[in-house]
Amino acid sequence: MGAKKAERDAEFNAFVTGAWPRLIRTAFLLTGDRYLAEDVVQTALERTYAAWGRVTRADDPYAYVRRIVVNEHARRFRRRRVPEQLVTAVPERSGPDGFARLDDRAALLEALGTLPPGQRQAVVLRYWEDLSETQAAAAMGCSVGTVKSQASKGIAKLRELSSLITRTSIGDAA
Amino acid sequence: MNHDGTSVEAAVEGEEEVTRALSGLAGTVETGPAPYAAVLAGGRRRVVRRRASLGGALALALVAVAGGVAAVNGGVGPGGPAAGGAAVAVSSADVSAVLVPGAAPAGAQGPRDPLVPTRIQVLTGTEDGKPWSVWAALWPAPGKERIHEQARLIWAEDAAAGYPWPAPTEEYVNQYGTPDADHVVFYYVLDGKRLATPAEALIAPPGAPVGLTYGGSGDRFGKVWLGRQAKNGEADPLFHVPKAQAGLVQPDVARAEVRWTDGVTAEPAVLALGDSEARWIAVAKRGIPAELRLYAADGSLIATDGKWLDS
Repeated sequence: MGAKKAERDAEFNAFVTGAWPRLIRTAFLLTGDRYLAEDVVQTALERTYAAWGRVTRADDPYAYVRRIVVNEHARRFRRRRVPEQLVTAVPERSGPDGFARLDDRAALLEALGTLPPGQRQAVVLRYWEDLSETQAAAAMGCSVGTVKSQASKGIAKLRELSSLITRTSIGDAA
Repeated sequence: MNHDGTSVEAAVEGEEEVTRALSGLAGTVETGPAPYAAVLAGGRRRVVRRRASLGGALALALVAVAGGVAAVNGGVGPGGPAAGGAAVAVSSADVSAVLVPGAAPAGAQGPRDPLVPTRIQVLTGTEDGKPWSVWAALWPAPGKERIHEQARLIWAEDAAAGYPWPAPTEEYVNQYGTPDADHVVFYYVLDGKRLATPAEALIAPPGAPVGLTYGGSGDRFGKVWLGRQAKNGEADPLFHVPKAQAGLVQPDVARAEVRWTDGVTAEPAVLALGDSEARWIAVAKRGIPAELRLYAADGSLIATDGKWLDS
């Protein structure tokens, strides 16, 4: 029994180590805050450990855990009511040559912060996690139609910041 | 191209730019190492909780099947009522947990798991605009069978915070470990990040006379220095948090008071940690002598110590 437990823990350890960076990045895009992202992912992984048998039987364990992360984010959002510093409008930019990399990062974070949670999840899952509409719907626990409309609305909102989106040189993807 | 390579979906104007922007933004996030030990501890705690609640549900179902009505002594079971808000078990990353004054009756929290610590925040403050706090984690006495496993978990948490010591070997732990003692680990969290180099105390487990397990009789009124081990000068984050002192006191202590020689006084909360019968107080040092006074619930003075804050 001890050996079996050690084997399970080793397997879980390997999964956590491998999945941690991407999960953190996804959670960061969802929450807009690194520490909050770590907290969300850690909680999700704790839940994962408690259901590890089920997770390993899933076709794609990472997808399973990603869904927990999305749910955890949604749950916290609902519970807090007042979300992560939503702003009604993104501040005006100073001009095309005035963007430093950190400014872009802050502006995009702020822009993401203007999206309601559903739109934000749809955008992050579709365009960062590169999921299909079907996969995103599974991760969000909603219909494909909802994903379509949420992602489309989210993109449209982000595109209102045309200078931000067209420049998109924030480190140009590690 | 999507991961599953399924349906070709209508291209949304601007999606490529959004993809690049999100990717660039995500790429700027430093992810650091996964806090595996904390995740593992939290996961195990969830398993234990789930088993406990399943056991409780099963017991209730059995009572119902037997046609019994559980109205014994006002509904309080043999373990007594749960200690309302007395114990907190939180992950390392959670720095928003509540302060926990008051007592936690032994046995009110289910079986002890030496691999699942209970944590409380014992001190908190702000330094240079950054929030800091001190946490205490109680790791129940592991026994010889699990002492190495526990030592590895404790080490892993600290290693994840940057402590450079190697992992404890089984041989070392078996030779120098104290399997029958509860292990209390104190550590700082500065601006949301746990700092390396904890302070530790080995204390008697529930059922034994309360006190530290080493030293002489004075250890029934023990103290643990916190934050004095900064090794690398200002480069060490530990350098930037106030030095503090945690003290073990007996369970009959209801109130503590610290009086510095310049007239300033403080009343540190008397805290319970998990199911341990020991109580803890913690005070940030001010660099000047102070006297500690301990009082019982009836207000009577139990003890004084004029050198408690000296180090």
